[in-house]
Amino acid sequence: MRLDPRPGERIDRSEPIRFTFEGKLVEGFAGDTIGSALYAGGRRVFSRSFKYHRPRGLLCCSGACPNCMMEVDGVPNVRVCVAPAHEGAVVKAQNVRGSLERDLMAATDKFGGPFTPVGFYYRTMIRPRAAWPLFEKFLRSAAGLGTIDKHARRTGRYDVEHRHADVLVIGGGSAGLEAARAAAASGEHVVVVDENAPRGDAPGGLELLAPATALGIYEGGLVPVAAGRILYKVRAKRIVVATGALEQPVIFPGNDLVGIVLPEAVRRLVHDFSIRPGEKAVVLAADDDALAIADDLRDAGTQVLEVVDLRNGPHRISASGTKGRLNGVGVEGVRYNCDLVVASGGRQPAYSLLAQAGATVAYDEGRGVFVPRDLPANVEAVGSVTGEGTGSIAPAKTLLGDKTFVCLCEDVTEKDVKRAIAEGFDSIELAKRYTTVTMGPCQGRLCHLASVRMYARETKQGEDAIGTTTARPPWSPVELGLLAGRPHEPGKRTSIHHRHKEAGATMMWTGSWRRPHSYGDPAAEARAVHESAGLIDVSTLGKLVVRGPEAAVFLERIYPNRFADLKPGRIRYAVLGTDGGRIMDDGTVARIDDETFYVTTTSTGAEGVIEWFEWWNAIWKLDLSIVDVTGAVAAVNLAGPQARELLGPLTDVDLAPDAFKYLDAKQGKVAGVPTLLLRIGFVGELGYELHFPSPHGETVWDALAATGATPFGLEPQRILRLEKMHVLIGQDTDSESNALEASMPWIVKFEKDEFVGKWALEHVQERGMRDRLVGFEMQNGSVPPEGGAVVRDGRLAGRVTSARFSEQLGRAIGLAWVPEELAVEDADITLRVSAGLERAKVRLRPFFDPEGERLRS
Amino acid sequence: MSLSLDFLSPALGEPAPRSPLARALARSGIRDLSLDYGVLDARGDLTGHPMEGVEVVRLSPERSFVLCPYRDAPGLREWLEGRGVAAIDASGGYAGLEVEGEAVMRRLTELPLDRCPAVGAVGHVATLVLRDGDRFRLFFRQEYADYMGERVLDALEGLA
Ligand code: FES
Repeated sequence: MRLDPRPGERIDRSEPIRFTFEGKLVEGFAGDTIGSALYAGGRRVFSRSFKYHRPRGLLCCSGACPNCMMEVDGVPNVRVCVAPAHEGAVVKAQNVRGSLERDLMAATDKFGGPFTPVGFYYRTMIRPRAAWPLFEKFLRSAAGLGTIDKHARRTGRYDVEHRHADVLVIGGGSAGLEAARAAAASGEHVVVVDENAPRGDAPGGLELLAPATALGIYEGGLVPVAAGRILYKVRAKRIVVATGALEQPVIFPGNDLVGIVLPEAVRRLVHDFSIRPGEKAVVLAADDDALAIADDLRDAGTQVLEVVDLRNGPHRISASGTKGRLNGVGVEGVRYNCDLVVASGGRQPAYSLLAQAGATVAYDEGRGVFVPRDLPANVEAVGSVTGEGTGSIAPAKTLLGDKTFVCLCEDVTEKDVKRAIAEGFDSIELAKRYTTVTMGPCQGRLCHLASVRMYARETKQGEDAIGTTTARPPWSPVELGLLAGRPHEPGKRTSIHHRHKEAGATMMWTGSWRRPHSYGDPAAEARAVHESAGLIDVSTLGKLVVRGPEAAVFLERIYPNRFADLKPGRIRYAVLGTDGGRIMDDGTVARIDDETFYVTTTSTGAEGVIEWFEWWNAIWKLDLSIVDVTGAVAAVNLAGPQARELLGPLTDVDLAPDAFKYLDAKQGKVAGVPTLLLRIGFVGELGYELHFPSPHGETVWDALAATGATPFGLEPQRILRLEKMHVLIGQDTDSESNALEASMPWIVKFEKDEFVGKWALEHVQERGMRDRLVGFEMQNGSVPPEGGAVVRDGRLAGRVTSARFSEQLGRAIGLAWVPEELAVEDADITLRVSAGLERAKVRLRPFFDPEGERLRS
Repeated sequence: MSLSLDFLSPALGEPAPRSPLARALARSGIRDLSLDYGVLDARGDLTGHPMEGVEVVRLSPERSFVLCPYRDAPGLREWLEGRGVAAIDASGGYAGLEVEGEAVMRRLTELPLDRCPAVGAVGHVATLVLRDGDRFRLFFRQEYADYMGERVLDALEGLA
């Protein structure tokens, strides 16, 4: 089957290559594709079709059809006609039960027709409903392409690489290269993308990505290019599309039989791989190039029985075969016994990338093809993609005979299309979704024109009126690994992160931060805070410096509470609201000096708060700057009755209760590090929040840990703050919550002239409270789920936002939104716990240390 | 004692600061710049204040990053403040590293590398990129140090 060496062949006969197909040894040469080596070895059936499991063989030999897809080294859906053969490759057939020659599922082709008409899965097997999962499983396993191993681990490495160029040329044919050379000659940096493996070096001055496929043209001229295991993201000032034209199959009964090929397949088999494609052939073609294929066949030793020029009027054609393999073709009633039919219905411009870029596509009546028009700025088309030298012919009249396939990928027949139209799917976009024509691996390359034509004929409209389906990326199938890229997720870690890991912390995500959930025993950690002292890393808090002559005015306007009267060295709790009066974030504000404030936010709210501040100041134009120092400053909170005692030896700051009061801010050194000390407490005990430069995170942490303070994580912190009924923004509030109903009316100073959200909160005040955030105490100790229902008279009346068992209190406590009339100390409420209802008492004052004596001690 | 923004300046600490990239880049051969450069976030017009031995990267007409030797940041901040330029010592907020070659940068960023200095996503993290020939200095928020260290090493491994 392999011909004698020929000039220009791609194979290197001095370098044999061996691989296995279904466990059997296959021999080829360097330069072979897996497909060419298999063909040279005598293989003709390469796949089984999607739905009917009909045998399919090489059709295009250029990666444009679904016919040669196999599993290679565990990767499904590899088009072996373009996949380079490599030593030791393990190649298997896919979508078969048995073998490619004897596929049990081929029974669908013989007997399944009446049960599997177009769109059958929308109508049949959907009842009884309960059985659908079973049917679905069956259908998924019976039809389709290769199988993905859902449990497989990442086996290969996929990379993404960015490229910038003056000019990107998509298509390395003669027109593309000519445009590329011209651009390079004028000094532009040119990148050429070509689907074919390069022959020799790239032409001078050009950067060649090959074999590579441009997957689409996105907004801003971004072109992703798949090249093996690298996805290039190319941005060019100018894009030249030279994707050429696509040979179109001829639609006739039996047109999917193994042995019916496009001219390009013959060109490649003969010239690239020196293979005789068949013994006896008939050529059916609609353009001169394709007709000339007869010479190539003769040159390769194939006997050409007939050459039919399809431009000479519609022909009646029908092919026949045995076991799916071609044994003859009838043309105008004359039968030719042959094993090869080279059929081409002409060439359709490969305009898809241009359409994605925004070009319009119109039907050219004279040529019988769709051509691109009105190209967007910076996108050009050259060569046959413009329509130059292309043309196509209408399908032959329908004959009785084997199935006539409009779409090989999805096994859509002419009968299916007619039926879809009869059922009312009379637009091409609807038909696409119903029949799935053009939705398969060829992405419409070989079926789009044919289906539009069929629609035009059956609905008695012109092709122009039918139009085209929307072109969307990817233009060619792409491995998911390539889209996924490298497995990295940008995660933020505090400068103390590694100390937590070393101490055995279980880490969790909070927003984009990694934080310790706990160090193994949340209850013991909470106990340590109550009994001695605990240490928590709060570096994740957002931190801003608001500074300038009008900084106080700004804070006064943006927060509902007062800051103009805050004295330097003092701290105030701050709740930030939206202009609709909803709670957005919370934190503290410490006044450094007359013009400087240090603002903290929640860990996940920092970016939103900064944007909010900047947005408002863009309107107010007050004289101040807002600087985000979140990452620059590490923070730890030392809390517990022994906190003062433990911190004392490490700092030059006077910690005496009278010298350093609750809500005071002081400055000094801790463990030799310049530190801002804030006397605040989220966890309800005497506490110091220490803010210092991040590069000293481990130094300060180590010094504090060495005093015997117990590190505690987020989970114990949540228990502790709940005991104090401290609200966690985002957990206990949502986008509808306001400060009045969230039981923080004291934070809203209506007497101020203005603040963001004032009008909305006034409205809430006028209309009265509807719901209220309250504490609750379970009566039987069970812990309700967060998000669980508050039930009243059998109906949903509110929801639980936080709930934990407090070892300190010996009971389950929580926070919940309840109707205003239930927001009364000791009121009975009912909560859903598991399948049942449990009783709880409403609490309005903190569960632990309600007077705050410990905090202020 | 009145309060100030000294708690932002790592160079004022007596113990040696630690680079957030130290672990990620250990034994990698990549140069860690985190403790070489101090970073000031300056608001105001710097054109009238020539400074020696520093690099000024203008982020907007009103905002610049001033890169100076790590230990000089607090002094330089005071000097600028004395001239009416609001400056914050952001040295603790940034980590920096140096990579060589366009190839690795192309795996990390879509920034046009012929137009540096630039600010944009490198490995999906906002980064200031400075170019000196074939060497690139990258400065990014220190909380991404571990991630960026891993990301850069991984990109280099892919090219190996
Ligand atoms: S024969 Fe391989 S894609 Fe068509």
